[in-house]
Amino acid sequence: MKTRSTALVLALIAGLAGASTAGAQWCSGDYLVEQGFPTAGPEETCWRVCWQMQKQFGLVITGAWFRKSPAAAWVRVFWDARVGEIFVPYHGNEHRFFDVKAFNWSWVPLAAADCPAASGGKLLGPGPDVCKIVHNRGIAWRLDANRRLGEEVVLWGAIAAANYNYIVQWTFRDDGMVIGRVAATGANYPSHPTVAHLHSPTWRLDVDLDGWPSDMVHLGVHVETPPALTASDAAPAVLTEQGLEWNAEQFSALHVGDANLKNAKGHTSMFHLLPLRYGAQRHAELYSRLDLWVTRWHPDEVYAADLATFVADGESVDKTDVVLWYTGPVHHLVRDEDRTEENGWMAHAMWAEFQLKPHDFFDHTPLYP
Amino acid sequence: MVKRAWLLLLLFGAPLVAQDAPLDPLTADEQDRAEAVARRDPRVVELVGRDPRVGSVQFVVPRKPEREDPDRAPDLGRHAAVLLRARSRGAGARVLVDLRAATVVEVKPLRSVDVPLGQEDLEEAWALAQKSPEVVGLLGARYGTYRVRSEGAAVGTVEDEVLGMPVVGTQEGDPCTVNRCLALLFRHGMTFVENVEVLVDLTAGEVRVTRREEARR
Repeated sequence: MKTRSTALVLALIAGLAGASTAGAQWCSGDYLVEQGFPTAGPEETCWRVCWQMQKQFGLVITGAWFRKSPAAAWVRVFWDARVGEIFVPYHGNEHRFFDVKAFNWSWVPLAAADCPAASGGKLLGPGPDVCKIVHNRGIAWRLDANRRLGEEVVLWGAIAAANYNYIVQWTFRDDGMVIGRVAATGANYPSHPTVAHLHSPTWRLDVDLDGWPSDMVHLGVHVETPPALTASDAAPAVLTEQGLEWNAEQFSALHVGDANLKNAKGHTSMFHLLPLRYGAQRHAELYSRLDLWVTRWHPDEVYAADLATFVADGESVDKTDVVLWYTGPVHHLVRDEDRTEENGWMAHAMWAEFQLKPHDFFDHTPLYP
Repeated sequence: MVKRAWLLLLLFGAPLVAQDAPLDPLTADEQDRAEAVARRDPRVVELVGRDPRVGSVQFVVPRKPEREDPDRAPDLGRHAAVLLRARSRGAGARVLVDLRAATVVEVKPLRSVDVPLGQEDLEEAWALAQKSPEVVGLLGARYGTYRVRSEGAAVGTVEDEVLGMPVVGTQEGDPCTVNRCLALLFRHGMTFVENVEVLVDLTAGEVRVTRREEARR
């Protein structure tokens, strides 16, 4: 009997040791989201994401990997992705709030009503802190009677910034695309509730495709000069730290890749940072006068408001560890729809967003047929 | 049977004590330890004094591995960046703490404005504001019900809540361009006290109440 008990104890310890092998994962428990697609049938693609809620920044992606087929290797996409500032200047210069850097904001615990299971939602974290939604995203591709619907996993959490909540949302799609979104919602600022203002989130995106040592960034530029009937596209390399202006006519985009990562066709795999926007913030603050920035990675460079300082030494960003920054503004014109019937204030969510789109990452059309 | 179990153990070869995954958030205990280690470092004391205010304690990975295996995390250690601010001087510090070694790895001086305001500042601002007859008059009969939510309490759990917005001066000569200032917001349920600004200059220890005409659209 004693022998059998000892054996059981030892087997149990062995089991625990096995469990600690799982501890060799990058993150654990609810902080690890691994989502294969499609959600029904054999897996085609898969995301592995680590997340944290952090004071000031809200929902931070602390690692993300993508696998383009079950037989393919995992490829790191993000080392870290977060909101590095949300700048809120008021039109009459009544206030200039730095809603990330200036206060050690906490976050809002979520409830089942935030994240209905019937809509594919599941609450994560001890708060709970984050809502995970896995759902159909509509048409992935279509031609006549042939089609494929896509799916995605969405993670969101909310920063509690006094009279406002900021919804920080990250979407990881089955086709490898990442969508970053931030919404401002809440009560208009009580001392100046009728004054228009901007909420401009700046994302800090540490994209380390296939690791960090050989990152490279190019600026996507579209050129078309009417009345000429042709157009061209170029992508000059960004070699030193700098800020860049988003130009609507040039379809400005940042292309980020790794010098050693190629697809089966031998093409260098990139992800394109595509702004989705309806304006550009331009304020007295230097960092706010440019929309796209490229910096060398330093772990203590996290606040976008200091970007002009970060690039002042002009470090190389050629085949080294690079961080992208993107600002997408929300222009809040106060409207009657912000005023409640009880004479309070409640502004609906206003979104800023971008896409990070694979380019020559797959070897052919993904999710086909 | 016993031999077989021991063999199993040897084959696993993994530590018997479960470890945190490297990218899991800092625990409350880790945050407390990071703060304590930072506070007692002589370089930190020299910069921000013996009783600095804590702006934030942030999870950080100070070095990336040269190579990585997506299925097996390397040993990244556990680190925190502690942002501290001197109580009486305009100085701050970013202190990188190695939690396993319980040592300070790096100390960088910061400007005071580069250290976020936080719970302690809000509590101090509210304490100052309560000494202002104007603030007492502003809140009227509900004055005694307002309070700052405690650090551990969940957001949205206080009915009459005092909130703070960090204010940076917007005009030349405004003391809040250099001083630490908080505007206080008074929330009752889903509404706020409107068209008045209660500005607390923490550095100068002053409270300024400005009433505004109700703006119409």
